[in-house]
Amino acid sequence: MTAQPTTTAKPKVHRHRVMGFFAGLLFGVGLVLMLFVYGIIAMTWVPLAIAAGVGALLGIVFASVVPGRTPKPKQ
Amino acid sequence: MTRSHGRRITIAVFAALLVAAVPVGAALGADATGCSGSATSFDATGAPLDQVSAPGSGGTMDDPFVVDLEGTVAWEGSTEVVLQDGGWSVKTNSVTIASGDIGANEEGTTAKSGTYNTAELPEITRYYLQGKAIVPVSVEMNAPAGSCSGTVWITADQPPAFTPMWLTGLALMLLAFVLFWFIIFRTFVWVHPETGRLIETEYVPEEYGEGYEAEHRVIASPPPDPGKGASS
Repeated sequence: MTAQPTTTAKPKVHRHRVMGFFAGLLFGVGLVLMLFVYGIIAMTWVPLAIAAGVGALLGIVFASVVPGRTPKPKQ
Repeated sequence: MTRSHGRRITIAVFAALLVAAVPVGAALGADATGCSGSATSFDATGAPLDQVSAPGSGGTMDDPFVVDLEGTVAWEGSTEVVLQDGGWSVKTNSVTIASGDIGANEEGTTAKSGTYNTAELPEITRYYLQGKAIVPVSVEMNAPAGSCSGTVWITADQPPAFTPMWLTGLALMLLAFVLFWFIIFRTFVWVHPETGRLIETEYVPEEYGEGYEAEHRVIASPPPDPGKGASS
């Protein structure tokens, strides 16, 4: 069976934006904790809040723009 | 945008924001208003570690006051006016870790000194002081006659690796990478080769599943619209 699509319909991509939100949030908080413990930045709420917010936002953006993959057909 | 490109942008934006935050914090140094004080820290063996004066030298974000979590801190301080019938508090990151009343102070004392055993630090402060973490500690005294406030940045200057905060940060970042990995490899475009229908289901239906590896199923659930796109 060939795997070539025979439709002219614009393919939709299912996006994992919620997962992107949490991935970015966790990455941002984790990164700031590492910077805290190495004394690179002072331990205040400001960088933690910025990293969590910006991380969550970038996670959503990342999940929204990452290219979709096409399933492989059985050989 | 490629996958690696997106990740590089994410890291670059984070780095830019965090580097920009450093000068803001560096401008905040050991300060004191309405009072003054100094302290000397000692390690567990009694050897001197560091000194700070507020207002004055040391205790800044660039040059934090080093304390040993099993040592002591000898301190002395004085207020500009006699403070009576007021209250005092010590805060770390806006979290009050100690507070109390100044009392009547009938002697009119404006200067005090003492030695603090750092083993008695509250648990939250000890948690903050992991590795080389630099933590602001603020002191406030308020009374009808006047007030006093000051901030000193302190650090325990310990090896950061394998501390609870280090492990937590590493675990969060690893979990984030797993989620990013999932996002990259579980974002699909799938059009059925025979029907031409867009297949977006949480599982591969039997009638559509033939011809596809099970692990490449699409995760979504809108039913296919026979009026659009589908050729059969």
